[in-house]
Amino acid sequence: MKNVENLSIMEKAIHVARIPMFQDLAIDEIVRLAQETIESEYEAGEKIDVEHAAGQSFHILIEGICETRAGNTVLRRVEAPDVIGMPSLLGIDIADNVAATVIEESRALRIPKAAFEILLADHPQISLGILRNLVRIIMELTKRLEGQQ
Amino acid sequence: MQLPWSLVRPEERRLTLTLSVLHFVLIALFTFSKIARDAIFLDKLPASYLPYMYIALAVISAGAIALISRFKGASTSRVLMVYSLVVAVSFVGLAIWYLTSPGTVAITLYLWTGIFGLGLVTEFWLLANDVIDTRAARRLFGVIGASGIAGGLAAAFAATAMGITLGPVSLLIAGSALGAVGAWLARRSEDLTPSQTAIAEADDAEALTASKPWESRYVRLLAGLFLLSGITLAIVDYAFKVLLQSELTDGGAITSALGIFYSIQNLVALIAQLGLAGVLLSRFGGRPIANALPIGILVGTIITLGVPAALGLLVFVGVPLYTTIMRVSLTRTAWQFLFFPLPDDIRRKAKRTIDVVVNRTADAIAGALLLLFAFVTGGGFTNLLWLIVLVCVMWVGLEIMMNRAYPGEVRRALERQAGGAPDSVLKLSDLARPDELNRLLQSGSVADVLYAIDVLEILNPDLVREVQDELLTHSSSEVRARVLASLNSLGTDITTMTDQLRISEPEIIDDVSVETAHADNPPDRVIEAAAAGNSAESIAVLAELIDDLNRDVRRVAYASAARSGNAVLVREMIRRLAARRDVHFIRSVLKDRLLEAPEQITVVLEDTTLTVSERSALITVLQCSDHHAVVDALCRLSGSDQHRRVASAALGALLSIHRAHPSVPIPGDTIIGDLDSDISRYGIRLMQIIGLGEGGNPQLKALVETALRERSWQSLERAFIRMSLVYGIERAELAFRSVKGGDKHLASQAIEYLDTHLPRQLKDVIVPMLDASTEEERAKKFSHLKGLQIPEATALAGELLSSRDPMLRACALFVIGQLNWTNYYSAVSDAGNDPDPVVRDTAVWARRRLKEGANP
Repeated sequence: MKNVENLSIMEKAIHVARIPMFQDLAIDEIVRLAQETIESEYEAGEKIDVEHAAGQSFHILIEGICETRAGNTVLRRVEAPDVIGMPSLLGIDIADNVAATVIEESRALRIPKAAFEILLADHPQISLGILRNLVRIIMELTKRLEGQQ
Repeated sequence: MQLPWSLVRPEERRLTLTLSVLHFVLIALFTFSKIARDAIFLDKLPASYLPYMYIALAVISAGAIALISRFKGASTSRVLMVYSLVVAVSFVGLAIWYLTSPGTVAITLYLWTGIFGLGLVTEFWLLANDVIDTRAARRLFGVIGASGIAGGLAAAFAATAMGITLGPVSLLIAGSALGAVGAWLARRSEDLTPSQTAIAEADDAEALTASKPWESRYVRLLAGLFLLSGITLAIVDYAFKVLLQSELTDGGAITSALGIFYSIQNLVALIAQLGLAGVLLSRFGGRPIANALPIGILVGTIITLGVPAALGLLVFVGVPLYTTIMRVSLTRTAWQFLFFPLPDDIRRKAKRTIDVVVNRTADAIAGALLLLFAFVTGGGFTNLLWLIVLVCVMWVGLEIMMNRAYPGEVRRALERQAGGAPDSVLKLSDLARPDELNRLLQSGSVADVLYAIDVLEILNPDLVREVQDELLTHSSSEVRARVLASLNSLGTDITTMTDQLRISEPEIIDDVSVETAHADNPPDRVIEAAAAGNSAESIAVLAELIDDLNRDVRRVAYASAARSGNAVLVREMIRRLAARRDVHFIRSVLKDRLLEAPEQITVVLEDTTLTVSERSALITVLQCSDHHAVVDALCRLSGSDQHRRVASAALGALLSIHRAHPSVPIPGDTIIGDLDSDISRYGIRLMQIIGLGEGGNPQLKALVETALRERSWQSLERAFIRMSLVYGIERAELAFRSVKGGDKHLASQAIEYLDTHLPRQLKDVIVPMLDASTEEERAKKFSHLKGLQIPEATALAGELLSSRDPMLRACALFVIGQLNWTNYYSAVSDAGNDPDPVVRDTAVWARRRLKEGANP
């Protein structure tokens, strides 16, 4: 993984605006959030830094494909644009062997928890978007488990 | 002059055509029936029998309403269909019966026409009210109303010819045929109305809520208005018939004369409806047009009284002609607007009852009045005219009352449909029961105790004081700190409470241990914060304590800092407010300070280093005070020369102050002075959105459009708040949300609300813009109004680059870079020195792109 500065703030804002949970935000808020993001590039096979219980950030995948795996089991396939690491940001303890692995060269925007929490305090409706995202993840996982059974 | 059909939008054509044809047929049917009714009656019976007919109609109408109420759950189109079929069949029966008992048929037909005729027209207009909103009605009712008049005209012409050649009974046969056609058309219009399910559900809901129309003052006023108008019109109609019978004796001649009368009436009404209705309704609304009828009758009758008797009869013919022309055209259309603000279920009940029962009761009262009048005065045409003057004056009085009541009802309709202010807001006391809180105070869990203290501080501060001794000796230092902070905020002097605390004695090994004990002991620091005064030492201590890890320490430190009035500390608190840190605490202490010494807080606004966020955050505190210094400061900040966020926040704060303290004077000239600027900005942003054009990178376009659209709404919102402050439009915020929300029906209600409250010069600018159904139409209306051109995309970039708004400058640079507009290279380079970091960043990016584009 390497941090890069290829994107301008406005380009980052366009990527942030593509995420459904942010689509009701005013443009100024989106740009403000985009200012806080850090652009990172990942090679195939690298793990995206999804921290445990006290998550300090989450990622917006803007290019490429990742898989969230528990050991060798693929839990979820994530294609851009999408978010990675939301559960840990909410303080949900995830298992030690769960990680997001990059399948092909990818780029992501890392959003620090502090910036996100300030945004959430001002715009609680984002939590609805988070809930929807979580429900979607749960449904995907459930389907996958049912398929394996 | 705008042609009426040019007011019909493409998506409204089918609806307008369907309703127009239906109206044509129904009014033609009604006209045939009226002419047949009057001709047969006057041919077979004396005109002096008419008052008895009026009374009988009123009695029978009450029963008719009971019949109509059986149509619960049926759509208005279905009700119309049934009506028309029943009429078709009944007319055939009456025509046959006439051959054997003409006198009986004369009475029966008179009563029957009186009942179904009004009901038919009522159901048609209920259908129109269901499918067309108020604003569209101003444009479409002219055309639809004209179709009805055309139907009446055609029927009148036909009746003139048929009356002479075939006699009045032929009209019954023609009416029957029209009834069948009307039933078929009503069936076809069923897809225009709300579904059967929706109506049944609405009716079920109505039964549950047991809505009683007559509990509403507005509905009672409506009923009174229609009662008086009905009485007056019936007396005018009677006077006309007395005149007619005195001049003509033959049934055929009467039929022919009536045919000519109604032909002239309908022709003039058609011209008035087509030529004037749309324009007058759009510009003035329904009230002035409705007022014109009683005023015209009054003037005409007074003129008749003033001229010689022989001339008077000739002059008076003009009065019933004017009356019927207005009744079938402009006034009838204007009257429909009175029902729009009512809830659907109440509207249906009220309109049916008013149109059938109240109007018939009016006829009955008119009949009784005429009988009484004849008994008391001995009759005579002059005395009849004085009776008309008397009832007309009363009618005018009620029209004036209705002019005052209608805007209020429109406001209530907006509140009802848009949700309005919630009747009840969820309160903390709803969430926390006293016994539960008591239990939590005794809990072994520190979190429970802390929660209980926080809630009790708001709900029952006396209980906090009662249990303070117990809590001050709690084993948890967090609890002790919390209760100290709570007591401090309740105004208790906590600086003397050190002895009451259970403080663990530290083992003193060296000075560090003392500091460690102190540092680990939040209650100590809470007391220290509370004890801090205005000395330099205390200020230094407070400066440290507002950064304490413990929130209760910070809370008390903020309170002391605010009390000290120290500019540096106050400034620091405002900075934290803007950064969303300890917002609740800081806002609370600043509000308290503001109430004690407003100038100390307002003076901070003069600090030119305050950022936009800080200024906006401070404004949210200012709105709790009605002090003149605060109001003056907010008025200054609301100017168009201020940053838009600051101006919006200031206007919002002024509105809050105005609502809480209506007697506080707000300088209207200052506020309204910038109204044109806000409206112009709204219009200009719309033009810029349209100027972006179609095609291009969709994400890029979406970004710029979003920014422009948000700015446009913010400008319009400021305009609405200014109008609210200056013109007393109470529900301006609700109207704004309704206009912005996208619900066409709600937006229409909101615009009607503005139309009934704004002064003329403002209405002429804002209402036409808001009435437009798309952004493009609004932009075009604005550009036409101001004589401006919608900019091309490339010129738009230049406009946005010179905007005061950094976001718009950044958007412009982004567009320039994406689209490689090298002619802006120098402006892009200059933007690299912009004070805003996002603009600078985008400028650097754009310059790189332009260079790459120039040297691929």
